[in-house]
Amino acid sequence: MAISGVSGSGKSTLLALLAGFIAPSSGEYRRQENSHYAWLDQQPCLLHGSLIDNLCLASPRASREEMVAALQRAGFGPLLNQLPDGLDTLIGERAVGLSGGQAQRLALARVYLSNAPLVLLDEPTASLDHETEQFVMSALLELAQEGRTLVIATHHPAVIAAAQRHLAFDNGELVEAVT
Amino acid sequence: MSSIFRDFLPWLQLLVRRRQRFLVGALLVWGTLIAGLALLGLSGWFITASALTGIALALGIPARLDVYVPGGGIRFFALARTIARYIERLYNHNTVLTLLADLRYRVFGYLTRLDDARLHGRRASDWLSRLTADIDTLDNLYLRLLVPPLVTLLGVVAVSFFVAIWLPGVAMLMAITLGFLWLVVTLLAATWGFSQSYQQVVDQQSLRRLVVDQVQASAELMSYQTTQWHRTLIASQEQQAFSNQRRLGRKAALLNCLVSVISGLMVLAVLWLASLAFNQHLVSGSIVVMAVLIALGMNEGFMTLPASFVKLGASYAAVCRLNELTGEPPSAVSAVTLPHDSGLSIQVNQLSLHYAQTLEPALSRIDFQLPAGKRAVITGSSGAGKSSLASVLMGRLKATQGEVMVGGVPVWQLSEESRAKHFAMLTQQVDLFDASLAENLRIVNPAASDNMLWDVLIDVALDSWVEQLPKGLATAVGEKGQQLSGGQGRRLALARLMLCNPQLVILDEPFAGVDAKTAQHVAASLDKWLVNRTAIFFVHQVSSLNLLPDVEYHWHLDAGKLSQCLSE
Repeated sequence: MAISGVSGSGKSTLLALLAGFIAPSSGEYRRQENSHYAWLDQQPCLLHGSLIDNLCLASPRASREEMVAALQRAGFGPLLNQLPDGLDTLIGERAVGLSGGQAQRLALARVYLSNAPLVLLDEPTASLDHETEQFVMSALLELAQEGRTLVIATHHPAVIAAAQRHLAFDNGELVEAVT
Repeated sequence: MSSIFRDFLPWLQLLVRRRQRFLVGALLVWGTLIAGLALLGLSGWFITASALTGIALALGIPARLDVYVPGGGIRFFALARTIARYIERLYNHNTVLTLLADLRYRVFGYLTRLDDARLHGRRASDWLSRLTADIDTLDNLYLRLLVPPLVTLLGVVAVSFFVAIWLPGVAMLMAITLGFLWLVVTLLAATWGFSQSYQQVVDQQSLRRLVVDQVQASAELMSYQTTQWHRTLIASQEQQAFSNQRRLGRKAALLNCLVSVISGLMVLAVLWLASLAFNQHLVSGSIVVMAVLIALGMNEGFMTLPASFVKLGASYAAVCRLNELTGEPPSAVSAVTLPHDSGLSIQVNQLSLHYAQTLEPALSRIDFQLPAGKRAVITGSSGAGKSSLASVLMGRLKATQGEVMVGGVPVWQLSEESRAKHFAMLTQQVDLFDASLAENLRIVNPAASDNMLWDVLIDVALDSWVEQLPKGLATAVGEKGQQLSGGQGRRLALARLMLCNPQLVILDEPFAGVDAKTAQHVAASLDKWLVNRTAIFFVHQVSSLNLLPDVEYHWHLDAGKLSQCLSE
């Protein structure tokens, strides 16, 4: 499902509501109890620590092999092979040392690692170059084919076209748009 | 030992600069201690002398005692002790706060001179703890580690000489015992608690890191349901820190216990020796009581020392970390200023940049020239080195090889003020403070009127949104601008940039997260604002190229290499 709307219309707020980061002032929102879900936004939170530390956020008990596999799937593989320290390579706070695209691929690896049935994405490709964007989008579509539910806030035409449902914010109202 | 001293030296030198305050402060502490001891000793002497005179009179033996002089003395010492303590507290707190201000100012000065690579090499929370926790630990140095042992030692000397007037043997015993005790509570305590108190500082830092992580990654932790896991991590770290602290506390308590036992035994020995002297009619009874009470009173000077000295390791850890920061040679004198209000050209010759131990690709042998007042765009995929190039152009990062000349001056040699006045950059990650919209805008131009603020808000198409906010310009944006959407935050940062009057502007992804219609509006405003300014746009999406107004130069950055693109 894609959610679109002009900048500041409330896309991020809706996603934060869906994620349970904020509570609705009125009305109700229900999600399967204790279900975990994956979260990916424009600027994923990367900790000052090793790649392992960062992947642990999604799955503390994952083995090194699982982590490598998730990174390969997320397109981080070529870079990982160049790193002398491999998974133990340190990255900085605010993801210094990683470019925006590399950071997003690392965050994507978290999604793969978690196996979450629901994936919430807040403009995941907004700060990516064309090549990385293509990669991330096809990876996301692949996730959808695996049977995971994806909710994406975006104003990217290609993403909206690929979605099965499209909701748009129009003057503060959320309406089903015709795709 | 000598290496520890060497690490402390620069900070001790900072104290030496204020040695007069330091000495007066120590003198006041000493005065308080001595007044207290004198009060105790004189009272003991007076009470005993009165009792003995009373007994003598009752037995019909003629005796007399001058009550006025000692009575006056007791009042004097009681008052002197209170007043000296009051002044001492006032004076020494003033000293310590001045010292803290000195230290903070100095360390902050070093932080501002660090370049991007160094600043980002550590976490923000680490820099904060340098400025706060480490410096707080250093104030220990003066308040707990330098003045008290010095004063206690002087107290021991004074008391020993005083007692020696009547009882040289007893004085010798006191001097030796207290001297030994002094060594125990300073040197032994410091050595014994060193590694644990050092560990305490390390523990605090890792705890702080974990807690900051917990907050920063709260979205990820909540969604992946790993909050509990991370909390357990914090709890176990906390447990470890606690048990370390407990061990340290136990050592301090044991040392205190030792002080009590030794000084207690010493009092007994003084009583015994003085009584022997009394039996041989060498001294009067009242002198015996006075000596015993003074010996008892000396205990006070020692009670706080063990707890302070077991923490020497913590001060050492703080000093080491601060030395790491201040010990680096200050970057070359950067004092060149740019001429006022003339256009700035950019000339880049054979520029290369290598990072140590990071994943970012280096810039290699970049050459380009941009005449004053012209606009250029540099495209490149993420990771191609755009942010690094921007940092080097702004003089925030030193090139490994080659040179960037802005307005004919090597940019790395420009003074801080010159760069602040003439350069402006919109970074990919914008920094908004937890303050109102107006305050965030006025950071760059405190004198800006409300009308000027509205003008720039119109330029970035935020005006109608701000107008419908109940608090308008006074609306708080929240920590890191959380109350705003990503696109709003970026546009607010752009508005802030447009409030200053730079000659050279770098805009890193100015339209990211902004929808197409708004982007067009912003691009048109930028076109007007950028007249007569030298500008470089960094973009990754070729689709946003047609938004950029009046761009005459186009380069492409790929894996750290720059190539010319044919302009249309």
